[in-house]
Amino acid sequence: MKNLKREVLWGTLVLIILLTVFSVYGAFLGADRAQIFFNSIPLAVYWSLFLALLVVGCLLFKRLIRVPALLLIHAGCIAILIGGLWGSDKGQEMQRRLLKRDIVGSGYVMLYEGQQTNQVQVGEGSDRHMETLPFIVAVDDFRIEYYEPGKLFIGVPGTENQWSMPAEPDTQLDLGPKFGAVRVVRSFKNFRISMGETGTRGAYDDPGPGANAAVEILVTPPGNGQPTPRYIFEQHPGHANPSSPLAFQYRRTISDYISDVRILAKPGDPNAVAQKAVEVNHPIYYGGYHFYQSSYGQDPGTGLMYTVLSVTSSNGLMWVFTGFLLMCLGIAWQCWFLDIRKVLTQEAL
Amino acid sequence: MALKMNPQGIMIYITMAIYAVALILTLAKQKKAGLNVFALGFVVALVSFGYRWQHVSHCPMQNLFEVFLTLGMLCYPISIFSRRFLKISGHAGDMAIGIILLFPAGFVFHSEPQHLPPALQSPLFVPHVAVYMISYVLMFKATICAFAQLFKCKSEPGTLEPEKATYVIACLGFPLLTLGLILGSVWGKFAWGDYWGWDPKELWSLASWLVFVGYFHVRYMFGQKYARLNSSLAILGMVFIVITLLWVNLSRLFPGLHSYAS
Ligand code: HEM
Repeated sequence: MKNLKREVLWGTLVLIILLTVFSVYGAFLGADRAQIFFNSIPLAVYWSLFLALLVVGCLLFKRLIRVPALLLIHAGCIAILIGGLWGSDKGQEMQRRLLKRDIVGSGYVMLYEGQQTNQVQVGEGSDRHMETLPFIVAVDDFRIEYYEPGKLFIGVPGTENQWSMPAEPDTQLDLGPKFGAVRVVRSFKNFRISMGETGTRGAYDDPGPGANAAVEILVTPPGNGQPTPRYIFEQHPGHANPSSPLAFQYRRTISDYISDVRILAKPGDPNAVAQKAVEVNHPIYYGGYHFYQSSYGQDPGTGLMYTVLSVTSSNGLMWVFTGFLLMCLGIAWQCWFLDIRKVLTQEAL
Repeated sequence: MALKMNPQGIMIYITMAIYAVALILTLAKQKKAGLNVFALGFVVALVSFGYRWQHVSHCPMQNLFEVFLTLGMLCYPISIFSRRFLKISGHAGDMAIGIILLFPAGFVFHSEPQHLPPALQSPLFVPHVAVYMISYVLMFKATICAFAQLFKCKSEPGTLEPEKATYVIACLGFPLLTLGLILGSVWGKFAWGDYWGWDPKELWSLASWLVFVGYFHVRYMFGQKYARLNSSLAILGMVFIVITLLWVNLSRLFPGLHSYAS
């Protein structure tokens, strides 16, 4: 019995060292290849062995059951491993085959504003295919929010001269005696130009669909020359003006992406079974799946925005999160209240 | 290497100078004066941290500049806590840690304020990073104790000998290291859809955590019989932490979500 205990402890050390080595190796592979490596058959054997050793350890070492902190730590590890194996790609594949469970794999849903679907694009490359959700996902609106104001970058191509200024109306930047000055007149979220009856043209901010951010600036040449207006577009930096050595760029930083998502039981159902403004860090959860704000784009023709939501099943998640909680509580209890106290009381004696 | 001649940079240099004076006084056996000067350094570090917070309008833990600014501020409270409640000596070591940790903030990393990108606007951002920062400073302190054990240094009377001191600080830091890993994982689930993405930073932080799991199991198996092995494992854990914090973020070898290399 004593020998067996010793062997189990040595086995534990070996498994911990192996996992450390695997982790370092995986870090050099990069996330995509590491994911394949850690989900491979040899690693599935490794994970199962780790799980088995934890269970055997708990049966052999009575203290791992009797001391609540140690029980929490090791039971937490067991729960995390079970949840991880259950929710892994291979685990889900087995559930589909053996338990005939209909689980949609991790994938993406791409929707234009106002569209709805139950199709999820799963897999990459030649493995790419569509799978069907048991409900409908609808996107009513998609919008991007920015930190205001944006920034205007000014440079003289081929030289070290560079400046930046907030793209806020009425701000002015003096570029020195060689380059004059720049003043921001106004900014546009969706720049459009209208033709007046007399043939005059006017710029305006279009509240309709589309996104074409721009700033209007006045460039004053050195030596009190006549200021000339210019429009700088965020998406089309444009060409340098031959009469001026200055080049401009207008940039804004995104603060959030938001999709108004509704979940419907049937296509066209007026009543949603769930709805949420989905943003980064705030997914919507329904029917065993989380939907995340993942990406977006714009149709170049219509200017309509589309949003890309990533979909993941929450298979095994409760086990993993419960395991996290148990392990964390157990480690804090063991280390802070038992181990440290033991050393300090020994010392005091 | 570039000097920062702005209020933020000047506060960092003043803190470093004060920590250095505190270290010199402590080494010159003027312990009380050294500790008072150390406390003054902490006050300046705290003001510098608050100034940055006000300047960028969010808790300053977003990039490596802000991370090192925070780390440099944590040395004093950790030093006092360790001495008072854990009987661990080594204020001089903590002053030196403070100078080392502020150096990258003062001379290496850029301090331009940045907006928080959407992924960082999470209630888990501050707890995740803060818990990691505290555990890193603790593990740094544990490493100094481990070196003291390897080089057979004596501890002050009434304080723990270096091997036990290493163990006690590792016991204090390990739950925080665990919590940091778990909070990161939970955050990953809410931000990106997966609680584990096999990203290089995640894997190096798992490896660092595993070195300490190994340390605790070895110490359980052999106690203080192989004290040098225990100390070496604690030092190895810190080496992994440094790689996780710096190499992974800065090297192009590890492409991933946490890389700032580009
Ligand atoms: C692979 C299977 C494992 C086995 C068989 C095992 C076994 C043990 C044993 C026998 C102890 C000593 C209990 C005592 O004080 O009497 C222990 C302690 C401990 N284990 Fe494990 N363990 C395993 C995996 C893990 C893992 C993955 C973790 C990670 C959280 C872990 C964390 C700990 C901690 C923190 C202690 C307390 C050490 C101390 O008292 O300082 N164990 N383990």
